[in-house]
Amino acid sequence: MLNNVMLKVSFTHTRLTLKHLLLSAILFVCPVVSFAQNISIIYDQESPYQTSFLNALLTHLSTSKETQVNIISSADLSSGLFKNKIISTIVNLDSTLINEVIALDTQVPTFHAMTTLASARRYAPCLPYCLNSLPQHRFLILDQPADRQLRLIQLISPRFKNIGVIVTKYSAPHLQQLENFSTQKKLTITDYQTDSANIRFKIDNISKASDIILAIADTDIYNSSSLPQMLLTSYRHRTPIIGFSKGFIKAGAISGTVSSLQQLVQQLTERLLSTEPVAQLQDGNLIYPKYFDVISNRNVAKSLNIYFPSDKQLKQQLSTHESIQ
Amino acid sequence: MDRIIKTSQLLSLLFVASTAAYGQAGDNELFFANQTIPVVLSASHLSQPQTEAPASVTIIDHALIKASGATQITDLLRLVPGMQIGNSRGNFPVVAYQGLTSEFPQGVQVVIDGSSVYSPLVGGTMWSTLPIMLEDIERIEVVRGPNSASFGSNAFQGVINITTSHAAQSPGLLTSFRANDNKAERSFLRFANVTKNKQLSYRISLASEKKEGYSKIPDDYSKNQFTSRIDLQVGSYDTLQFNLSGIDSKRQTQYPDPTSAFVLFDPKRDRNESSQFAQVTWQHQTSDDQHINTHLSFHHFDGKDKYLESLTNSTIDLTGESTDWNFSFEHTLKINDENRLVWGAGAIHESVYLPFRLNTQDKKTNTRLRTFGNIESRFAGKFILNTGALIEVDRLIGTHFSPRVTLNYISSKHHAFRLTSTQAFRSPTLSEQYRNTYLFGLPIQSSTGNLEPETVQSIEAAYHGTHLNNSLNSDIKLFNNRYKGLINNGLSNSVKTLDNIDSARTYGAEFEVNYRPNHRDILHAAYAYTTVNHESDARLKSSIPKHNFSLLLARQYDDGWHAGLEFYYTSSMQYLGAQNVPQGTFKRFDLSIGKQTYFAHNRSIDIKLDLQLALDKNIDLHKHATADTLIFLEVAYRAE
Repeated sequence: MLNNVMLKVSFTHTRLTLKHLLLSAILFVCPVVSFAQNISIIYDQESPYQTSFLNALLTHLSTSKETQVNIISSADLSSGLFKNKIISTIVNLDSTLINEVIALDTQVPTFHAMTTLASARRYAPCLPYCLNSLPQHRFLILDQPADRQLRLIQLISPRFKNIGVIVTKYSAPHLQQLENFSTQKKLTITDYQTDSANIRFKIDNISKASDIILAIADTDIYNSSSLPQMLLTSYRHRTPIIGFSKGFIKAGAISGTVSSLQQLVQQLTERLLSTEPVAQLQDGNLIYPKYFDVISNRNVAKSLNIYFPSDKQLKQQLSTHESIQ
Repeated sequence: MDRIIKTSQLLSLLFVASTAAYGQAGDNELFFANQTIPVVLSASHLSQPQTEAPASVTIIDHALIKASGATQITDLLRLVPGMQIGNSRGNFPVVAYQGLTSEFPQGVQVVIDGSSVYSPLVGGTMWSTLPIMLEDIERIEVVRGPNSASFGSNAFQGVINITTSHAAQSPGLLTSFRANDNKAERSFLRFANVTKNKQLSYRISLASEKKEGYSKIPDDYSKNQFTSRIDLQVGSYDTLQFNLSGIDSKRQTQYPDPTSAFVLFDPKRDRNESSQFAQVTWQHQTSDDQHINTHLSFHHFDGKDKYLESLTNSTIDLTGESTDWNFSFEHTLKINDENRLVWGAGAIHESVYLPFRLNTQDKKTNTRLRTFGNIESRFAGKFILNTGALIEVDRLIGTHFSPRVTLNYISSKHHAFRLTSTQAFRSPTLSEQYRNTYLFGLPIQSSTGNLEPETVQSIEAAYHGTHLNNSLNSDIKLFNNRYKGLINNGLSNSVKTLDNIDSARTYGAEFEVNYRPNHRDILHAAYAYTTVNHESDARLKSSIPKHNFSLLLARQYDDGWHAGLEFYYTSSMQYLGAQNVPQGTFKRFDLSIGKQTYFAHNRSIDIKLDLQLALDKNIDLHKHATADTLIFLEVAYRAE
């Protein structure tokens, strides 16, 4: 009897082994067929930034032989384009088409890039948490994470305790994260909700009431038209501003963490080629920039008698802190 | 008509299309463009970092201006250690630094938005016709010490650098009315706006004032003034700024001692003065952070003062007219991480008409060309070496050179030490060079005709500290100045020939503290001790007050109330000049209190009461000009 059992196990084991060998042989012969990705990228060919992003993304994706890319111009986007086609992922670079892309209802993982939370909320008001209504959609936003920004403020100077934050209704969700982290760091966030028409009347009082202003990536508030008055007025009251882009910092913000196009592309590529299921990502539907640099305006800092470590040191400290978290 | 309508429609469509296109591209442009946003806080907008500056600098910023309760621009300068402020004949403001001057201080250069307003007529600055208004000043930086190496020949003892507010900074309407119990009144109106495309912003200010001055001397004064500033953003790298000003004033004057016989030759009368000023500034920033500033300014002054002298029935014409054109160019670039270079060039052409003093109906002219450079080198992590010089070619006096070397040691982010050695010079004015005054056919005063520049060699040691998380700034300066070739102008009526015959050596210390624990409270204190040694004329010693002190405490409350108190003290001194008498100590206590009330639609009213309490006789250059206690009431309405 024992011999019969062992014979059965032996036969089963042999059968299983043969099955695996066969499967491996098939996989060895046809690897592409098994792991191929079909990524559709939507972009506005009139936008030089989206074009640059696309080119950089294609370069990164070309390292993966299993990935096939289909490029769709914004002008050509229609629901018919995705019918009867095998698509594994959609990447949308045109933030003005978020609504249309959502409406496609393709049920495939979709990454919206080159947008801010404020802009995206115009089309997806449920953000940042739309996991029920938009489970497949993820937004790789340009906004820097709250923890990183608050930590930067602390590294610049411990005397900045009272942080002024100006938001519109579209960028207001940032406040929750800021308030969560500020409590841990013993900082005070004072928020000012306004709209683009009234900001110029409020900046004087906001500057007087704050040690430092943290600029949220909301171009309704911060744009090339409003920045001159905001920077001049905040400087008059010796209240520095933490900016969110290289241009903003060069214009007069004192410092900021900034993610370049290349860094964003790198992060998106990693996401696209990752085997981690979309549903397991944190931060709701949002993906914050992972890679960043610190850029500072030392002229403005010096004129305000503010001295802090070099950009390289700041970046290192921030990165180390994040890797520990 | 159809064509006009169609063109307008097309233009409207284009405008809408362009703004719409911007809206879509806005996010990406802001985040990724190398330079969509113009540099707002450029070098010219930023105050000097005091720890790294090659000289001691007092910064009177917007908050301090507001807290001071000052009713005229010159009152702000009482906050600077070493400054003497006065009013000659009650209505001619005098601003001097470290003395050695008459009622025409010639050693302080004044610059407004990059252009000098130094008057070739008298040397120095005509503060009563300054082409700006107190309400439009953003910041004043006072460089305390000789600075010809950066600012040219007339930055002999110091430089007052005034920056006006950008036209976009205070949009809307501001109007105010101020009066005091001495029948002085001032009305002010300002309107500022930004055009729809946000590239052009403009500000227009109008003011009208009159005052009766000191009760015992005839010094009534009235002035109507217009100033404007236009800022134009031309692309991301270029800005243009235009400043315009026009002033028309009437200044009552008379020999300041009514009991003196000189009143017969200098009787009571009105002097009509007008001034026009225009300036264009082009600021260019390159993509690799180079800054280029170019200024061109025009300044014309006309003071009509012609009267019949009663004793001899002859006409005395004290008219003075001057015109100057000023061009300057400055380029700042970073050579590498350790070295930065600033260099530039300039040209000044000036002419004066002074029939009485120069005994001619001809205009006298002069042209000066200058070039300058400064290299800032950082080494060993904590040292900054500034090496600079200016060369000026003056048609009348030849070529002169002003070098400066400064070593800053930044021991930590809280402490910095500085050692400066510099040589500066003051060019004789056209009035001094061509002086040839006669009265009733008798020579009164003349010049050798080949006056040389006055020179000063200065050595300074200074410390600047920031404490208590940057809320407290302290500055200490020790100085030693050797003056040579001082022109004996204004010493007394007995001076017959102007010549470079005087000398003096001054040394002392200045101390300044600025404490701002938050946005509501300000404490500012300044003290200067100056003494003169080895002076060639005893009057030079008495022209410098030994002690000079100011204190300001101010608070802004959350409910709109604001209050401040100031105390000013100057020890006894005597300005040079025959008509100026020894002044005892000057002591004044100012108190201001006010409330700003906000209304709907971004409107507000600010009502303020200022008290200037004279604690001493406070003789102001002349023995009959004694300060009264004054109470000012001001009401300001703002609508944005």
